[in-house]
Amino acid sequence: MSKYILKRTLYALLTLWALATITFFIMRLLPGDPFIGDKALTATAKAAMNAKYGLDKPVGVQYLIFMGNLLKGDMGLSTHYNRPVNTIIAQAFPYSFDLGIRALVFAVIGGIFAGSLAALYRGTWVDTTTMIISIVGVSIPSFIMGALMQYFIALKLGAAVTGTAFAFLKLPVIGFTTGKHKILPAIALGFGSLATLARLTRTSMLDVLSQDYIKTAKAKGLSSAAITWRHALRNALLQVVTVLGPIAAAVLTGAFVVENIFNIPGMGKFFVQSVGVRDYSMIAGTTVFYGAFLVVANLLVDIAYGVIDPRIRLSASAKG
Amino acid sequence: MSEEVRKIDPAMFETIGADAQAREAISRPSIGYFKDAMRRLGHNPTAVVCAGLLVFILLGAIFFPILSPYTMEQQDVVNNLAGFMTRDAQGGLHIFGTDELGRDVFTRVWSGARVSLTIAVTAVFVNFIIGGIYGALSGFYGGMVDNVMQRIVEVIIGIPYLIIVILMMVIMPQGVVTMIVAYATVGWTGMARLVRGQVIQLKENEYVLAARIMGASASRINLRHLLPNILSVVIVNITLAIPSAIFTESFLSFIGLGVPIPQASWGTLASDGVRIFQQHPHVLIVPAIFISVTMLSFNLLGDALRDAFDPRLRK
Repeated sequence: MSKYILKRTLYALLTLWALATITFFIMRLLPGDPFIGDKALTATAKAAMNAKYGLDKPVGVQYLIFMGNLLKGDMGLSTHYNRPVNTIIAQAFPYSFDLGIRALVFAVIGGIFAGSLAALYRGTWVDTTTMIISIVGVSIPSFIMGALMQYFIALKLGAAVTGTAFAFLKLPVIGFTTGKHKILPAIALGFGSLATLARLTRTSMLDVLSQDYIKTAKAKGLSSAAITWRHALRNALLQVVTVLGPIAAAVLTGAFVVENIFNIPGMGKFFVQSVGVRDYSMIAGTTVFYGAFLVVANLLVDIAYGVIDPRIRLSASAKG
Repeated sequence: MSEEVRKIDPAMFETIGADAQAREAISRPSIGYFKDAMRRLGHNPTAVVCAGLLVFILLGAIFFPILSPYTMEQQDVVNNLAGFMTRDAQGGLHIFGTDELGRDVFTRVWSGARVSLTIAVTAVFVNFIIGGIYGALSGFYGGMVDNVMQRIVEVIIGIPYLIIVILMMVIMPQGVVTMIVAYATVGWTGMARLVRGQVIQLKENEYVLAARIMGASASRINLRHLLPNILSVVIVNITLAIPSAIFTESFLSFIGLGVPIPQASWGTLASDGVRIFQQHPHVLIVPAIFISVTMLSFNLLGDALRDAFDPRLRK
């Protein structure tokens, strides 16, 4: 087990290093320097900045300084906001995290529930409906989903229920202050992942349900609830755990646009804005931060998978 | 009932004997694997409808921008933000209405289809070439080569691809080619893994050994013997990769990294539409429907292809 964890951790570190290196060199390929922003710096300030981030030194040294700063958690200064990237991330990340977790919980619980239901009632209208909804869900990008929900649910439905007994159904169009504000963005962000998970859970569940041990359990006279919960779902979920890493990545990157549509002051909004104004240090900083976050999430999923399913870590250590 | 049975006269029957030769003859023309799969696909109504839709969208993308009386940038300043089926001063029809600059949405969405589909299909094809060669080399040579190549893939897969694509889009001039290059830089890993797995499974087969004994080169074995055998898996994968490429394109366009003005893709159209859709929903809904229907058709067709190619589902 420890060998497996060590190996995964090593990969995670290697990936992080590769990501940081790629980011560094891509940023160095840019014309001009990082301090050509829309806020002009005086010559002395620029020299001081160049000295601080080592931009007056050869590329090799710069690379070492960049890496050193990263290890210390210093990601440079945003030229657009004129504040350290760290401060911006510290301020914006909680919003993104809040939204992301809500979307993730919605996707995981909804997806597993829908997928299991479809598998248990295979071939019935439950199965058909669930699968139609999920293939449509996979095919609608989150930003379109978000915009359509704003229009049809927040505006149209909201206008329809105003003044009636159903006024509690009225949801705000944008913003991220109260719980009601968070419902639509979380659904918009999580729906695609929910659909992916539902499809995967169904396949995996059908696979498990045809196994011999399910027959044995039935022959023993176990109730169908016990079979579903203790035998089928547990094994079916093994498959599902593997995609949690990619799902987390999808939710995180999907937040770029969903935050923009719903006007949520999260990292995605900052990232997209910094892309728009070509705020390079902000882009580099957020990229490394996002990358690190996802790599760690993937690592945790890998380790969790190894803990849950001994076959994985055994085959992994047997391979090398 | 039994009386009826007794009435049958043995003289009604005639012995024709058993002809061993005729029994062995194949009474129907034999059907190859691909033909068989396509036949099964043809019996799947969903697949037929999706394929039809995709052909329509493809032909539409080629011909509608040419046939349309408007150009992409032509402005009908009197009728800006007009709804569906609005007639202009000359009697021309804006089938999907116009946008805030009075440009014809119908023409723009079909021109957008050209850009979006070109990017998606080319990017996926480039991924297939890179991933296919990488995976085939890795799987075919095995051992140390495979080990090193797979470790590299594992590191690349660990990096969230959208972030790298965004980074690359930031530093390169915006445009169709940039988008394809950016997507292809990181998008080939899935295909490489798939092809490698297939090649490892297949390369132990006798026909590969036979080809090797007869002195076939590695590239000949890969192209002539292995490729046809993994083609079904690859086709399914490509069909399912196209919608995700379409998604990536529209996502990038949406955050402002798409094709530059005056070009338009579905993503840039949707992005323009989002700004004003609360007052004028048709500007968003038209490209949204195009994106979703195309992705949906590719997804459903991919699923149907997988079922058609999978021998385990044969009756």
